[in-house]
Amino acid sequence: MSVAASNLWLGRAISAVVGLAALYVVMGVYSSGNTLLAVVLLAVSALALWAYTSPRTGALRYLLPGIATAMVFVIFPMLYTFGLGFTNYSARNLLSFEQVTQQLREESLRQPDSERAFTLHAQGTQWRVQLAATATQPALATAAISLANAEPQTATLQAVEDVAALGEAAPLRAAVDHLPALRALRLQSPEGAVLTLASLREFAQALPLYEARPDGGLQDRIAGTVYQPDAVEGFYTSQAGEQLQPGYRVNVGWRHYARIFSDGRFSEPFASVFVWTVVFSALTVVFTTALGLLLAVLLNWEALEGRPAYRLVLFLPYAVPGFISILVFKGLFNQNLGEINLILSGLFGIKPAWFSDPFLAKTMLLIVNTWLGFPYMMVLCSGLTKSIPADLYEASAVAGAGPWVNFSRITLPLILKPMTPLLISAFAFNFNNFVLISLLTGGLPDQLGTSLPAGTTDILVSYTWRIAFQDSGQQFGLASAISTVIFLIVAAITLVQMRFTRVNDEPRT
Amino acid sequence: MPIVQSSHQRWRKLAAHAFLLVLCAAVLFPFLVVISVSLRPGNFASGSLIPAAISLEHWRYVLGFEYLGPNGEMIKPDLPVLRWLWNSIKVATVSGLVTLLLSTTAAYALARLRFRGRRQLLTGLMLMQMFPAVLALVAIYAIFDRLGSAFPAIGLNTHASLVLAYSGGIAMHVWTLKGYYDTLPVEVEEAARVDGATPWQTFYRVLLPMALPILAVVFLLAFIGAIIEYPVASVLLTQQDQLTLAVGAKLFVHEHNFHWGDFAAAAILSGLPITAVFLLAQRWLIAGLAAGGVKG
Amino acid sequence: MNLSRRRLSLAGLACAAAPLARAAPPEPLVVWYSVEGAKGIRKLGEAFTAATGVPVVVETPDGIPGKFQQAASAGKGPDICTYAHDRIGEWVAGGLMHAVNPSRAVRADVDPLAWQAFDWRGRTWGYPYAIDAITLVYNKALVQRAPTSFDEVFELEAKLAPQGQHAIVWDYTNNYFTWPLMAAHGGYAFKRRPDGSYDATDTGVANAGALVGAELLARLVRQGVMAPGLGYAEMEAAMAQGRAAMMINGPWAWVNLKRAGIAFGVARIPAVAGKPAAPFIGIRGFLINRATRQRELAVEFIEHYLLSPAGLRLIDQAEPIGAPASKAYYAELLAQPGVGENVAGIMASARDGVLTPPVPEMGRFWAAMKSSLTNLSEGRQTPREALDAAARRIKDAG
Repeated sequence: MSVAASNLWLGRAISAVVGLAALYVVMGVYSSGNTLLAVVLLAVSALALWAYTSPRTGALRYLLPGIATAMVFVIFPMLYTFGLGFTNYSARNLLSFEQVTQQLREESLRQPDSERAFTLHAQGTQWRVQLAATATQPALATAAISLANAEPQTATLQAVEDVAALGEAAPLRAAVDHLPALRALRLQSPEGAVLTLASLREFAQALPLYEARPDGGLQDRIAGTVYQPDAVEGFYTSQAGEQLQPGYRVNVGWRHYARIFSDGRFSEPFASVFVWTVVFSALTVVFTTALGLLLAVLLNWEALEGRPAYRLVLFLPYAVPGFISILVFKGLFNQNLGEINLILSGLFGIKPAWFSDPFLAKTMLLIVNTWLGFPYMMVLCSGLTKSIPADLYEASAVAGAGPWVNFSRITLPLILKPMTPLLISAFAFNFNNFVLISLLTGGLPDQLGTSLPAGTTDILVSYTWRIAFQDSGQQFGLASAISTVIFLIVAAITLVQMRFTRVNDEPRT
Repeated sequence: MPIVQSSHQRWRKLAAHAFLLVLCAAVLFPFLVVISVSLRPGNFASGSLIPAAISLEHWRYVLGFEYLGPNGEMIKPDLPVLRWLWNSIKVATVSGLVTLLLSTTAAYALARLRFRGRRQLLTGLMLMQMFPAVLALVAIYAIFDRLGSAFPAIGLNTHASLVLAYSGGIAMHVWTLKGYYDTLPVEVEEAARVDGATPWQTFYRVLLPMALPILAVVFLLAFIGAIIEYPVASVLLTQQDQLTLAVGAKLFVHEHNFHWGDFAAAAILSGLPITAVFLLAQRWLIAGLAAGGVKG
Repeated sequence: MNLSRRRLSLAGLACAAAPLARAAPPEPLVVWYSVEGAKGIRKLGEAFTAATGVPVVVETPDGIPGKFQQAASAGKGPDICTYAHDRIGEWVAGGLMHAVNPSRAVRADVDPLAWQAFDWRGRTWGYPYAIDAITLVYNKALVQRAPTSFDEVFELEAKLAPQGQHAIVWDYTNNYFTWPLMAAHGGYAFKRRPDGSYDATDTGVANAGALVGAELLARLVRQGVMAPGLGYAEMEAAMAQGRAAMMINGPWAWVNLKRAGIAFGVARIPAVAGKPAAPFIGIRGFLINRATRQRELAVEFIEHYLLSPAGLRLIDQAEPIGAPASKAYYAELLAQPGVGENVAGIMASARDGVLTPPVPEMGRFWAAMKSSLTNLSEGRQTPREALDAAARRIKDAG
């Protein structure tokens, strides 16, 4: 056989083995009950097999692994969150309808003072359950019953004359070992009362609170009220409007979106918050990039001494987790006790009120964000400037040009093209930079006079999050709708930026 | 950068040094505060920069040594901080390599190969990063819950699940790499093709070596991103031994009872692997300079 | 390719017959607790395992409320969760908790105040074990006898100011610490209905009683007793360095004071114009997850191990629980020198206090008051304006 043909058969054999393994896994997943996952896995492995064996799929082979993981772990959660925005998923409507119905049907009310301590007594392989005597009642015991499996059973209790004849009480361990059977056991007293397991040591009378009706409702046994499931609000509701807890998740359509666009509390500070968010992101990108690029160029200058040391020190803000850096800055900027104001008052005699003046608070945020972000830009620019051929600089040196000409005519234009998409994503990242705002200022100083707490340094994400999570418990559905709206806003801005900078055009080589 | 033959060179260098030194001081100051907090006795946030008394108790706690408690007895630290550090390094390294693998191949396809839907895919990759991911956590938990019931090795509380979850975050790296590939001249690759190389060989043996600087950058950024990441790791990891340092250090942060000193020590500890990788990556960055000088 | 595909699917179907059953080891009882206290619970767990054969696993996640809600709603999570009572309104509404029927012995041993916190909508939802209330913490070297009213605090300030010290500091923009002043004369967060629920439309943050407290706070800042921009970290540092004589804080802060070598005492928060200050009371308890498959074992562990005096002792030694809800253990702690007076101080403070309403609308309350207190202390709004703005925000959001 020729080399090419043997390679072909080797390829076919490998793909057959891989296909077999994939199918085995899919069947295993399916039989463990995860149908959706099995289907997804089947689709992915079929696609992969086709991509890597078919001769026509060139680009797909390179794209598939990356795109597949992005689809599963980024796109799918996005779509899931998008879907959540159409439900009333919240702290009060957390569970599914089935879970809630089951919970309500299992609800039981224990009769007060009906608890009886019990012990187990072995009789061969079977057991007798004895209820201890109380002040008013004699000791009762069942006949020998089997506690081997969890089948529901009823056992009658009879008065016991000779307690000692039952034998020694088994230790608590026995009750633990036979818990499933004990849970399914119903004891019938001579008076006709039915007792069920209340704890590891007691049986008690408990009546179910609700009775399931054939029409799907629930009837309260004591009060007699009937509750019907309400698919609009997600609660079992009575005629009078009383709602049973817990509630369940239901589809509410566009309710959250309508609220976002019509509710005054959202739209009142929207303009000012949105403007600040855009300004904050844009200025952060400008400052960090300018500083990062300048440093990358400087640290590329062979004539400069000590560059490795500088590079390391200037990189450090990126090495320490932002969480603690931001908190340290919070202390440093403290008006009366922070080190920054101590230095400023010593040098210039001023003590700026960083946290209470809106403009100063915004300046402080930009300073801290620049400190946090410039090493990232510095590293990126260092990498990207390596793509510029060195002979360009040599040619310009021969022509007698200075460093500024080198920078503005060679470095900047050549680095701008690959940098632009990264600038766009940095803008988007800071648009949603919830962590910085909430840790450093919490959105404060406050905007006076708004009907909901809104800060002058709040960005869109932090303001809307507060509504979704602090107003009245967590409202995940509303927060999902908000996420989607913010995403659409950022995506729109990004598309405009991409079109404007022509970042997606073919490279001109 | 060129060899400038100007006599202003010394002034320029002096100015550059002055600027850099001032910047370094400004950059280092908060960092020094963090170090000082970790060396202060007690768990306080404020105080003088140079602590009046130096106490190694936070470092002993974080490094796992026994220390003298407030009641006068020797206490063994109950939080395995070093283990968390090791977990973080493990996850970040594997995640960095996986990210590198996935994004270099995807970027190659997007930069060099022509196919339908290329521009739309690029736009989609850009837009993908814009979703405020905090709420996607509910979905991530659900995904790995399901995956875990079928394949326990990648379910909740495993490091493999974390690596998988991070592997979706390649969008920005793909754009970075694509941008860099676009600046590399196609002639070398075309020459290789003429010589009979397959696309894979062109990619692996011709393009990648020329792209070493940016590969180092992407690995470094992916590594750092994985080490400091908190939300996804916090959702997927709950068992104390499995935590990464970013998640575990949060255990020092109670609402009113902030263990500043311990937290500062843990923060510095998490900076060590990042600094180490940065120093390693530097070598590749500089090596790239030599390779770049050869081309063209 | 097609032939191999057909062969593959046949093989796959054959493999599908193999069941994925696994042998089941005894399912552990999972408890969520804080890091330091977990050590004590693990020791207790060993005794439980010896008696019942069920292993006990103690996990220490961060951010327990969020994690519990997420896990429990998915049918997972711990069997026993430990948290303060202020979330039970939300968690009961979410169907995350099991109602409990404590035994007569446990009912008798635990303080009625603590039971009040966990009785909600006619059922009991947890087993209380600790009573939290903030108190006045004073530096014994600077203050011999704790002041009983804020007038005395101003007198103390006059005495200490020439030495560059201050009488009192606390994190006053955090409403949790400042509310005792406003609740003293009748301020309330939400009106409590007779059946135990709360009316989210009726708030007393702007009534005359709250105004008295707000004006006191404004006066303290205006007269320089407390600096503007003072936060929790600055308060702690000031106390530890002896620059402040007293603070309003909780027992978690005692550790740092001990480390700084400050001999401190615990007392009730000074009275405001004749009426005692009313801090928020938080009751910590053991809650049972509705999704648990081992309810009886959880009840056994709580009633006979965690809440036994021996159990409370073990937990307390691992991490101080403050004032215990168990009357027996409280009596035991009172007799211990050093610990007794501190615990008595917390209990005394709690007797004056008001239970935190366990309703989710409290989120609105905290957020609105935070803004208002900040504006008030910075002088951007008068006390009247600040409280009215808070009231409007709390009501409008409903």
